[in-house]
Amino acid sequence: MNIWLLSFESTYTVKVGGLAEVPPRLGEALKKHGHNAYVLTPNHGFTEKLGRDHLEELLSININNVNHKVYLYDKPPTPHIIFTGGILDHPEVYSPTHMMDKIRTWSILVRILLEKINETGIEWPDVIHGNDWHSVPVIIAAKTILEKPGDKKKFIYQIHLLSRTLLELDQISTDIGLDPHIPIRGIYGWKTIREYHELSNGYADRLGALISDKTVTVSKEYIKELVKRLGWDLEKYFDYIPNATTWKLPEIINSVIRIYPGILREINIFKPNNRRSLRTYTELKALGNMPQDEPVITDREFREFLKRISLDPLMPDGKTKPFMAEGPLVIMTGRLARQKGVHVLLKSIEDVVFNVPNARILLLLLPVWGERRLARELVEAVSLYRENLRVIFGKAKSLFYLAHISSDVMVIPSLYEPFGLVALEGMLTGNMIVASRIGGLAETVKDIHTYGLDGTGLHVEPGDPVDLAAKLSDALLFMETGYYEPWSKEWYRLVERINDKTLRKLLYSNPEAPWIIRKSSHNRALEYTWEKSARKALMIYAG
Amino acid sequence: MASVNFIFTIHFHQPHGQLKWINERIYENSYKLLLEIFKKYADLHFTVHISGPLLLYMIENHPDWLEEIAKLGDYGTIEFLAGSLGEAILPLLPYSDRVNQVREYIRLFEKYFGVKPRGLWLPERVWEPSLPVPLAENGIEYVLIDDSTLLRAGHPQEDAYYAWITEEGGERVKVFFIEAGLRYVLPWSSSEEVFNYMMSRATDKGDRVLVWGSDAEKFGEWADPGWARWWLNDFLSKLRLRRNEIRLVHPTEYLREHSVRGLIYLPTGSYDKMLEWSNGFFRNFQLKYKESNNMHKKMLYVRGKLVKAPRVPREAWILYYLAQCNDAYWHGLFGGIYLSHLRQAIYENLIKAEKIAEEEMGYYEKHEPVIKRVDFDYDGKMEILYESKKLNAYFKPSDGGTMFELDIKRDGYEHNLQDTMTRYPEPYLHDSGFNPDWYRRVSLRIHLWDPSTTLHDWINNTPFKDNSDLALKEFSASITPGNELIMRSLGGYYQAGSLISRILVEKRIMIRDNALSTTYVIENKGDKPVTTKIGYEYHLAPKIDRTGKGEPIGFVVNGEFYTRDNEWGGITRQVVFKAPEYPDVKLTTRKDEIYWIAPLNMLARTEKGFRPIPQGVAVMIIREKNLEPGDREELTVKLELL
Repeated sequence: MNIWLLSFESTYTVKVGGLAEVPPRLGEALKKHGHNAYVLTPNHGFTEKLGRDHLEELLSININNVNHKVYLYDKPPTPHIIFTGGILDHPEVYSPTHMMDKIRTWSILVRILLEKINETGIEWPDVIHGNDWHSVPVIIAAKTILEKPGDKKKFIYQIHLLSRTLLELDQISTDIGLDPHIPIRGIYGWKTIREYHELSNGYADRLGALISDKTVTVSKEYIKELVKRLGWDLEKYFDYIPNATTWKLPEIINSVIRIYPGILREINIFKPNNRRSLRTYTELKALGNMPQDEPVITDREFREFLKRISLDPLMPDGKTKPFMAEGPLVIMTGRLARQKGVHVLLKSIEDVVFNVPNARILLLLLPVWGERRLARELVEAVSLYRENLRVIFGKAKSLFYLAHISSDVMVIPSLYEPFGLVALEGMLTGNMIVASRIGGLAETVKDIHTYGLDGTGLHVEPGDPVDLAAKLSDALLFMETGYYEPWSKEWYRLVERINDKTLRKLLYSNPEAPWIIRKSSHNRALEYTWEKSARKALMIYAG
Repeated sequence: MASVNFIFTIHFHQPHGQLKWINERIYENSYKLLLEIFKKYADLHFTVHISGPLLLYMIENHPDWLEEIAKLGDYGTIEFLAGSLGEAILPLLPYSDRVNQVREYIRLFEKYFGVKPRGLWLPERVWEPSLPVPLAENGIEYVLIDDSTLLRAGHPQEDAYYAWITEEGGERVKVFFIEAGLRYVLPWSSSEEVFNYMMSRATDKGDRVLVWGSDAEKFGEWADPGWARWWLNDFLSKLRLRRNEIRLVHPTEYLREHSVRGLIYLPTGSYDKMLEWSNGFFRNFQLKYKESNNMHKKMLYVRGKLVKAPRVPREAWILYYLAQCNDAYWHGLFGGIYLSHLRQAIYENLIKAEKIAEEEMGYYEKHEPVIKRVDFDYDGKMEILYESKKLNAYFKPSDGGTMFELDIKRDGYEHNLQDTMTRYPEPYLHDSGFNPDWYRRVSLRIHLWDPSTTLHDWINNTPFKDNSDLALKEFSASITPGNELIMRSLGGYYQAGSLISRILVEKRIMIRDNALSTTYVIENKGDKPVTTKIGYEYHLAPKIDRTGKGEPIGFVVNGEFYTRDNEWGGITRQVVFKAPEYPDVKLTTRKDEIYWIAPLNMLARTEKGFRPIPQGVAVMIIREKNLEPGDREELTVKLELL
């Protein structure tokens, strides 16, 4: 089967967000199943940096006196077809100024590629698998060439994150060289582009779903959002292909040993002594010793904002002082955004610290434009809870893996989360997860209340700081018992401070429970492989 | 930028006992429309309450609708509010009933929806300060009440834009206030006007909340469904675009984000109109409408039996809780207690529950009938209750020696035949020419009418036509060893305010199986003759078939059928009352007498003017007599369920 994966970004060309990982990884896994997969993506200035060595020119096209070239880039495990020239070479991937121009040109070039496919040596696609709304006009362009009555070509539209983008009729027809009266096939049968546009009210995601055989997302739970936002008439056309992580534990451990050569000779994150040493090191040393060039903050304004801040324990340039004493460690990673529930966590901190006075909360957050107020709240909170809270804004490569393998709990208080890849990263590195019962997190994280020792964490009500504080406190105490001699006075004291009966019962029946949970978490993360995702994709393609 | 939170609460309710065709019409006009709207705007947040009686109806009749609604809850579009199983006015109930009403609702809701609601819709938003206790006992976190209640506590209007905590005896509940002003513009004004109204309350801090809570039927049933669909689409599509200014949130979402403002204490209250109708206090309805008090006290009486019975199946309690459904206990502008099918359902349930309790406790093991003298209606005077396995007949000697309840207990035909309704003065009837009743429209009342009195004078309450005080007189009551009830009273016959003669009235009531036989003796005890029309009055409530099957209700007299909206006056010795799906009820005299038969109708105000609503069928047996001093007039009237 020949599968074309349409993606606006790729980790092998230009990566901005999480989307960049998915199509190439899925393509790689599809290849292992014996299929030909290509990632079709705009250039965004990538080929200029790469040089022409690895590129095979497939087509050269002149549109309005602009020369466009279509290259085959076969160095990545999944070969890429890169569309270049004119606006497509602009390095800003999601710049609102150029976005529609890029999509328009990309759509036209894909259509021409299909028209001239016999000249390229590339085989006709059996499946067109578009990713996110940017691919919708491309799908339409492809349909006008590929679709014939009675044909078996499959069109799959995948939504990684719902968008509120509206598309004008022109943007999906005349702008890309198509007559709006051309009929295309969708869930309501053969209708013109104009008719499907009307049925979608111009809403890009709905349009994508209307004209595709199946619309997939990344988790079963997120299908509910699709139904709500895109319409109930589409409900039976929805399915999901879960994401997977590319993290591998031995590589992570090697990376940590490389960065901190003196830390431990060998690391076994499931050995209490090892893990405790790592935790002490992270909390008391590594945190205060970030390399000069860390954290990396790409947003210039945010860098300026941080420069002006010197509010103990935060230091200028985003550096921080370490914790003053060691304690149970919880980490949170991701973007600094309300969507991620950072404000909910902030509201819960007072309770957590009251319940677990030696709790250490470490936030590794990537600043996002427009969340300045939240950043300010966070800075204030760090100052107010200086014994318990630290935040790193931006990328801190030296700390990132170390924090994962030394912490006890990962908290993911997101308000919505299509998949929540961070949960897999947290679980792979042996953390108990306290996560909102929402989107992919409702599936990847197995609640201990339901699964017992096969569980990987606790679910909380999204947006509820009281629930979050209660569960997070209990999770920290629960995991902390793993560092104490079972049945000792100290161990008992910890267990009795846990409010949750299920957790207490687990410990009384098996004091090794925290370490079993770490293992269960690790094993759960291993269940999410691209190989499995590819299998699911193939079922949907065959569908 | 100024912003405000908005909680859009839609209350779905149809009472227990509602006519099936009405439920179906509302389902078609309104409920289907709202489901369609919820799905179309599933990315928005709605708050929904489905009352217990309606929930049971939908489980039975429209499970698909319910499934879709539940799905919207699962998908996060709808936050559901709990309620009371019978949509009962909680403060009217004994404490444990308040707890159990909510508990049973939650149990039913959880069974079908799989989740437990955190907030509660308070029926008719009747608040009393004692409510936090039963609510907290059920784990209810918050409740919606009206801003009028807040204002009565002396708070400024601004306080209505936040959530608060109140407590009773250490039990706490959070309160949101439904804003009357918003209820008057939404949905009656344009979307823009509604948005302007909302934004006039917005602040830069964005922590205020405007709560709208009202009936689902406003959308599609009260007004044209086409208009409702247009209005909702217009409003919600624009609201989507203004989401940064007006944030449609669920109550729990608001509480998580903004928590409560502080502690508050509130007096009794409800919404502004309800306070107007009830003279400021809901319990006043029980004083204004004797029939409301009758149902309420019957409920308490049945409860006494349920509690005393050693084992009562849950089914009996459920019947009992549904009999607490509020609609039949009060009246505002429309329907309510004047809807006889609602009262009928209350009695039906109470009689069924009573029978189960009696069976379980072996109530008739030692004696049958059981005859009691108790203050049934809590007015300080004693009533006589006659109870048997087949029927209950309740008499009120202090109100003209009348019978105010006649419960048929036959399996499958449980019904209070005496569930007729007095026509009370209502403010909206001032200019209608309607004369309210001057006595309770029940049975066995004696009138000594002026000889000029006609059927219309009687049924329409022409003043000063009854020349005696016997109709309202207090009667003595005694029981013979043979279980005959004897009520007597000595009254007077008056003309132009002067006593003409003393008149002794005796009523001897004998109950056998399904028949109640009353022998009236009227005796002129004075020394002057009295020329009068003696009136022996009966009112009956033929059973309504709420599913809408069968023939219309009516009566047969002299072999001819008349529907219940007909009047009839003439000579006969028997009237047979016909009701679909119900045995005939026969009223007979031994020989031909003059019978007046008339519909007992209340007037309801509608868009098309006043419209009669039936409250029963009235019968007056007339004897035109010149009673000389010492004359004795005897008549036996038999009322029988065939």
